[in-house]
Amino acid sequence: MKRISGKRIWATLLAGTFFAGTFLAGAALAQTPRSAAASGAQRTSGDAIGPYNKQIVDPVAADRGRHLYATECVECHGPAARGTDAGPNLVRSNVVMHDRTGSELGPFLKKGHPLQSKTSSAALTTEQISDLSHFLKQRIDDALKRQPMGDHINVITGDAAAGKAYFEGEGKCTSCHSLTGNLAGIGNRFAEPVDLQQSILFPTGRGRGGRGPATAPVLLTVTQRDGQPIKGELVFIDDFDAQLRDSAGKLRTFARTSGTKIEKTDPLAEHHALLDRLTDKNIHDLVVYLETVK
Amino acid sequence: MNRLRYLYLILLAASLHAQPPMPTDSWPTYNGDFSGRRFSPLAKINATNIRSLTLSWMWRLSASGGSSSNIRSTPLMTDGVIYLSTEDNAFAVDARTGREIWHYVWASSGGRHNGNKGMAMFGNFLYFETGDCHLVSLGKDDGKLRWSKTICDLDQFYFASVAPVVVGNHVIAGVSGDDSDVGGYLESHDPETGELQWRFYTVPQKKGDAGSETWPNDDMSSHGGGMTWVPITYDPELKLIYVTTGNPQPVIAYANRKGDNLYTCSIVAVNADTGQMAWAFQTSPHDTHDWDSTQTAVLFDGVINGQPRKLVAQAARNGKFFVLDRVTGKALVSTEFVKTNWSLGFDAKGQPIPDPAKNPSLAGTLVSPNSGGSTNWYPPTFSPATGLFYVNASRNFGEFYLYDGTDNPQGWAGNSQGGWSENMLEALDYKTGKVKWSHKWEGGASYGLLSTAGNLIFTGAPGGSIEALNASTGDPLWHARLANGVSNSPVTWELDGTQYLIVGGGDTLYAFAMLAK
Repeated sequence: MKRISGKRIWATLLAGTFFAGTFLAGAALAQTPRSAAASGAQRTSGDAIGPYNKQIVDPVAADRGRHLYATECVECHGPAARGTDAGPNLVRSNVVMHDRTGSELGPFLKKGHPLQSKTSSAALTTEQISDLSHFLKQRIDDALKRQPMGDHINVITGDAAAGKAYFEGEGKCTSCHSLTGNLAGIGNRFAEPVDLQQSILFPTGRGRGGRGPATAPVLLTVTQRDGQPIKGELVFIDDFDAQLRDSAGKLRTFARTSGTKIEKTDPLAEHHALLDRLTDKNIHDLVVYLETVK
Repeated sequence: MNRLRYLYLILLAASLHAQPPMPTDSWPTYNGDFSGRRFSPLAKINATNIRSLTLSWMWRLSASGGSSSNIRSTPLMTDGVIYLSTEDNAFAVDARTGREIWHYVWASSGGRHNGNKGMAMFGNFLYFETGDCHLVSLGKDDGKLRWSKTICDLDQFYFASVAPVVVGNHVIAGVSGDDSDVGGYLESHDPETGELQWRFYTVPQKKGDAGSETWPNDDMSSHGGGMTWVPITYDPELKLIYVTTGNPQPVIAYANRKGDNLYTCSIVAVNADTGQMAWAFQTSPHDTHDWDSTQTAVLFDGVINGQPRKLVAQAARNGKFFVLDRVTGKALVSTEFVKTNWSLGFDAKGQPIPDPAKNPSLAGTLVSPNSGGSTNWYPPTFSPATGLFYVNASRNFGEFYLYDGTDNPQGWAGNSQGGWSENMLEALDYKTGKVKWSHKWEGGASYGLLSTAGNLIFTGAPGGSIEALNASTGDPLWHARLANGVSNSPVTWELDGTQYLIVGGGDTLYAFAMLAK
């Protein structure tokens, strides 16, 4: 990995666009976080991971630590503290991982460690070391599963015209959908384009956030030995019993015996079958096309 | 026939079929024996009489906390006493009455608690792992703590959940963790004292170590994952442990770990006394989809192309099925047990060739299976009676996103989202890998399996039942709906002439039996 210009990093750090995963690459420096949730370690994991006595990041201290880091450490250890040719990855450092507000980092730095300002790290105060600890713990949090890095960067990469062609042609989407009917304003309905993408692929329950078009329920048709077919909405089914709610709203239960024929009709069957046919290009094109339907 | 000649024939037969049958009066290890077959020779409960199987007792455990009160583990049983663990808790329960004998609680200092898988026993001692990285030994009779040993580092976000297995004079313990980039290993401890005997790293610690040529550098390989969170199997004749390893780290992003990333996503044979690797077979070279290969490596003896062989088989999370010679690690069968879309066939070694076009991407890549996989940790079963390998399988899709497009991602840096699935119990012919029958489920079926000489397969079933199917045909034969559905893998044993079926569902253990005399 190349060393990165300190000045450039400094500017990025101070601008507060601390989106650790993307700002290593020069082209991504200008990218701003998509939402507040992506911008720092205030967002905490819902999972109880690590020790109960782990250090909880103080964002104010971490912010002070960020300035100190940019002044004294970033050139060797890199903007996300993931190391460069000149210095090791601190996110994976045992000293940092075992640290509690300076308990390990303090003794390490007090021994004297090269700093960018050519001063001795032994002169750093207890408060400065604690601030650095909070900043580095925040970088560890960034790298953990389901942490701030867990955000989509860009799913809008396709070609709208190709998406339209697929929608109206090969995809046969118009056999059930209309942009003025059940997909009217579909490009406005979702919080993020990725939600629209997910709803195309997995529309069960009206797709992500329930914002897709309404879908018909799964139907059961039960035919007993001598009887008429009984139809209704599927309520429950396993290997031994099937339950449906008939048109009168009555719940009916049938044992799945050899004399009873049970047929299941899933109105989304075509969507499920599409998963075997859709190419990644089709998906990306469709998302861009449907995003234009405002 | 003279007696000596008869003895000779018995010994010959024993050497040709070296695998002893599972004991019927106990369930002494996670899989019932070392082979991982989960096949019981008991046939008192069988395909003809199973409809009269009924509830004998149920026992509800008392433990606080979600994962502590959910039975994920396989219970052990010996001398009429059941030993069962949940996260941070261990219990002894009378196998005849379902009455609790003792309850041990471990004071946890943290770690992920996602479902303890069970205990090991050795003489009068028990062993289990805790979410906060300890291997704990208890006295079997009183449930009192004998010792505990730290087996991993909580600060690095490791945790521990696998059932240890005692082989010879070794307690074999694995570790878990995928929240941060850490390396996997397997440990052997002295059953008496708990002292560490050896540690086998599943990923190279430094340049020159076996497999290091498949990583860009030491930092990536030594932090490269390969967790050991499913119980090992063991061949006492070969003295080989078969450990299956988890996915590489970072999990989804891959820019900084070019190469095959050995020995992640592999079946690895390790000498039980030395901890040295004998051979390895990689089921997912350079995995980018969280497809741990931590599915049980099932050991059985069979005949392939007319040649008797000692075999090891695995239905892997990535949808592929492998049968290897377990002496050499050479692949004899490589195939798919569900349709997938991520590979370009198999290479000369029988390992899948990943399709780079199906790597996760910023805009999303549609991959089958999703990160949950075509199967997962729940144990399969192999029946020597039918010659079939059974697995609860899923055909599903996920859209795989990269969250970090830089050249140095860490952790997961991506995920698979969404899903649609169809799920089935499959019976595979081990000689060809072909699906002999497939029973389609009406929902998800993440359940472990048991096969018996009664021509039965027992499994949890969607809808909350414990269910039995005909092992030859897949026809559903019997079920009982539990309060919370099945949460572990069913087991069986015989006590006082009665065959029991035991299964965990949430916080309750159920014992079924044919009680009419």
